[in-house]
Order: sequence, then C-alpha cells, then structure tokens
Amino acid sequence: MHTLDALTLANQIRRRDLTAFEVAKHTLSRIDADTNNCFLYTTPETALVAAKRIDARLEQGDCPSPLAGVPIAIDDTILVRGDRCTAGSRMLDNFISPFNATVIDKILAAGLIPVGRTNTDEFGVCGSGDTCYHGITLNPLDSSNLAGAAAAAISSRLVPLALCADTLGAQRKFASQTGTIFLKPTYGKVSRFGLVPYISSAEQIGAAGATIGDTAALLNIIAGYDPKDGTGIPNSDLIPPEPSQDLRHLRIGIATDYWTTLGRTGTATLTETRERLTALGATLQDCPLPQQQTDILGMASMALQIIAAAEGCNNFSRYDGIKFGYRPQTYATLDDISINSRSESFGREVKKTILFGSFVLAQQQYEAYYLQALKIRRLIQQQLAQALQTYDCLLIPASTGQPYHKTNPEANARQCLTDTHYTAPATLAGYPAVAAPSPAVTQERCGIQFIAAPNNEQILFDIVNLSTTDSLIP
Amino acid sequence: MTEDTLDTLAAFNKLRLSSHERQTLYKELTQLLDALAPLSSADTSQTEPMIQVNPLGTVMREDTVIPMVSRAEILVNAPEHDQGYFLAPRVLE
Repeated sequence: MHTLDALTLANQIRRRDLTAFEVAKHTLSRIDADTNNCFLYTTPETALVAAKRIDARLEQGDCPSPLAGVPIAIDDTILVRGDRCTAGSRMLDNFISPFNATVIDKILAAGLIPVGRTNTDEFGVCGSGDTCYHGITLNPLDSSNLAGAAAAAISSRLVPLALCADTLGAQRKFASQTGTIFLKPTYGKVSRFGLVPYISSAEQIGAAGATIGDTAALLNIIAGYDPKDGTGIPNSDLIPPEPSQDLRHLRIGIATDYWTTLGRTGTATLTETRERLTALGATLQDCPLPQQQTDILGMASMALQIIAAAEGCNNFSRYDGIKFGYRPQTYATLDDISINSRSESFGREVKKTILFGSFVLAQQQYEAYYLQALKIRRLIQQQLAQALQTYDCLLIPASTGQPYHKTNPEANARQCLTDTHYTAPATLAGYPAVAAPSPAVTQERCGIQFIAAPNNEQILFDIVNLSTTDSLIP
Repeated sequence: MTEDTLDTLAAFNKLRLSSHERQTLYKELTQLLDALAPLSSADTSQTEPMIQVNPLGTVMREDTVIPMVSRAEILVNAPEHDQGYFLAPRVLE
C-alpha cells in the first residue's frame, strides 16, 4: 500500500478496501525501519487514535475530504499542539507546542493523519541539508548525498505527503533531486500562523508529494485566508478538481539564459521538457530574462540572502532562554542566561545569519545592503510580472543539479548559494512555483521549475500533471 | 567588516564566539560581503523598496481578547517558573 499515491490511497480507504488504521500502522512501521534519518520522531498514539476516528466516520459515509485517512509528515518547523517542535535546533530541543498551526487545524479537519516530524535545517537557514542539530538526512536515490527530509520521506515511500516550509527554496531543489514534487503557493495563500519564523516576508508553507495531483489536493485543504496571519490574502482561489486535458491554451516562456548556464545538464533537460510540452499542445517561446551577476535577476540570490539574514536576525532575537528554549547549566545574571543560551545552542549557520543580518541593518550599511536588496526585490517582481503578462508561466531550472555530498558541509554551503539563484526569484516576488524532477534525465537532476503569476497555481498544476507522467521514485 | 565590528555585533546579539568560531565566521562573512559587491551596480534610484509582496497596507483587527492558550500551557516551556510567573535572576539589588 505504501507505493500508492495519496489520492489513490484515500480512494481505497474511502471504499473501505483499506482502513486508515492499517495504513497508519503500516506507515509507522516503515518509518521505524528508515535508515535515511527522514523523521525526528513519530507520534503513533495520536496517529492511531485519529485513524480510528476517521475510519468510524467513513463507515458512516462521512468523508471530510479527498485525502481523508492519508498519512502525512509534518516539517519540524510547524507547530502541532502537545508535540515537540525543535525547528532543527538545540535551542528548541525540549519545546512543546502550545497550539496548532492553522495548517494543522485544516489537515486534521480534512481527516489527514499526521504521523511524525521530518528533519529540517536549523530554522530553515542555509538549506544545504547539513545544518540540522539532529543530523543529516540522506537522499534515498543516492545515499552518498543529502536531501531535504520531507522530499526524502516521500521519495522512499514512507509517506505520500508532507507539509514543509519553503524558505530559501531548498524544498524545490531537493524535490527535483529526489524524484518528488514541491508546490510553493503564492505568498499569503497559506497561513503562516504556527510556523517557526525565519524569513517572514517570503517563506511559505507548501505541499510535497509524489504526484502533482496529491500536492494540489493538499494545497486545496491548507489554502485560505486566516485572520491570525496578517499577511494573508483574502479570497484566495483554489485549484479546481478537474484538470485540463491538454496545454493548447498555454504559452510558456523558456528562460533560456538560465538553462544555457547549466551546460549539458541544462540543455538535455530543457530539450526533453520542451518536446513533452510541445507534444501536449503548449506554445513555447524563448523569454529574454538575463540573469548574469550584473542583471537584476542575477542579483536575486544576493538580495534574498540579505533580506533573509535581516529578518532572521530579528526573528531569532526572541530566543533568550528565559520564557522558553535552551537554558544553560551555568549563569549568574540575566545576561548570562541569554548569552550562554544563544551561544551554546545556536549552530554556526544561525550565528552567521544573526551577525550578517545585524550588519546589514546597522545604520552605516542599511542603505547599501538592506535597502538596496528591498529595491532589487521590487525590480525582480516587476520583471517577473512583465514576463507573465506575455506568458502563462515561466520555465527555469529548479537547481544546478549538483548533489550535496554528505561529508562536505563547506562545499554544500557554497553550492546552496548557487542553487538559490534558481529559487530566489519566485521566493522574493511571492509568486507560486512548482518543482518537479527532470522527466527522463535521471542521472542529472537539475529538475524543472515553473513559475506563474499570483494565484495561478492551476496553471502549474495542469502543466506538471500532464507533462510528468513517469514517476522517478523507485 | 573589521574584526572589531564582528565583536561588536556578537556582543549586541548576545553571542559569545569561540576563537575558532570568530575566525571562521569572520572569514565567511567577509567572503559573503565580497560576493555581494555586484548589488551596488544596480540603478535603484527611481525604485521604492519592497517590504511586503502583497499590496495589503496596514492590516488591523479588533482589539479584543480571543482565548487561545492557557497560562499553564505557556509555562510548560519555561525553564523556570513559580506561581504562574517566569523566573529569572535578580536584576535589581
């Protein structure tokens, strides 16, 4: 049953060919046997109780959603009431969530079964996969390399779905490298209430799955205005349940400059993708989006690093070891608690983020770095908006395709900055994006990424649904 | 960035760096700043900064209390507490 996609699994549970209880038990036993360190811990008691409750409702013909009874993994940056939530940091190693994130309330109401918490980079910082306090997660397609834990959990068929936060874009990059899908919604479409904050103005909770249909179904459940999130957009459109039959109505802009810089990997992936999309009736045209270092889009990664550090520096200032978080063994004064707590529990990348963020916000540097990054952000959004007046979506790589080796954190940190070049534009603009594996270039996983205008997730869904029919998950 | 600046920032952010951390972070941060040099070449003189991506303006809500979390649930995470209050070392003699 673990090889089934989420919608098929839900259908079988709804028809009572399977019970949610037996699916949850099977899932938990497979997670226990996992050797890639995808999960930090599982929640068997609450999962099995929830599964029994859904089974009872389904027996009465009461089906709360198309995904009722399906197990789901939750990223360790999203609060689930009564569960530990560490955000991958020693600082929060013993933190118990006092309330549910809004997305958790929504998936529970929809009858999904949270089974455990997936590993994460510390507070989502860096995104290389090797800054987590709880150790690295290995890529199930190649265990000499790292992967994001949610993507790895889906790729190794531990769970069919996961909720996780897209911060610098690592979820899209790792989806493309694990044969899975990650759908980053429009900023403000999904409530961030209950997400451990890092880049408040850009990060979004998104849907990870083995198929685009699964991620679209999950997005339909978690999307919607939440008065608890002041950045939410009212009247967010959802994705209709019936997909298009072809792509004849779509014009896709190929951001050629991004592909040519990847050399053979980019050319092979683009050629294959172009053939598939053309066969489905889409109109493809080269879209001039220059992205060299002196071009505005070439500065997206730089601008995102500055904004991320500035916002991260402020968000991480709440951790002082007084009200919650790591309390040091020795201290004499109030200051000692904060200094020892932060110095002993934050990892190196978080400390670097804090120091860098503080630097760019200082009066002497504010205009040259932070203000300049915010202005470049507006220019990036304008460039994407202009391109998306001509095209329904843009096609760019999801990453360079270079793997993250499990024993080389310094090279990984550098690689991460390079890969952020491909994910930063959609992140900074707040536009929806979906990352999928390269259809046939299985050894060179730069992946494909489609970016659409705000609230146009339907277009992303149609394209990936029709163009990536072959699963790359074993 | 100078090493003195790094020390000031660390103190400001209540971080104590080991000599190894200080050395490594200084090197990485100066490299990072070097890599950001192209930013200054962008002409942004006519551009307004973008703080939020959606044109929402200032979002207000009613100033009403909505019960959500009990005091006891909050204090579960407090390293030290007493009679419903957080405990911290004395700051006034």
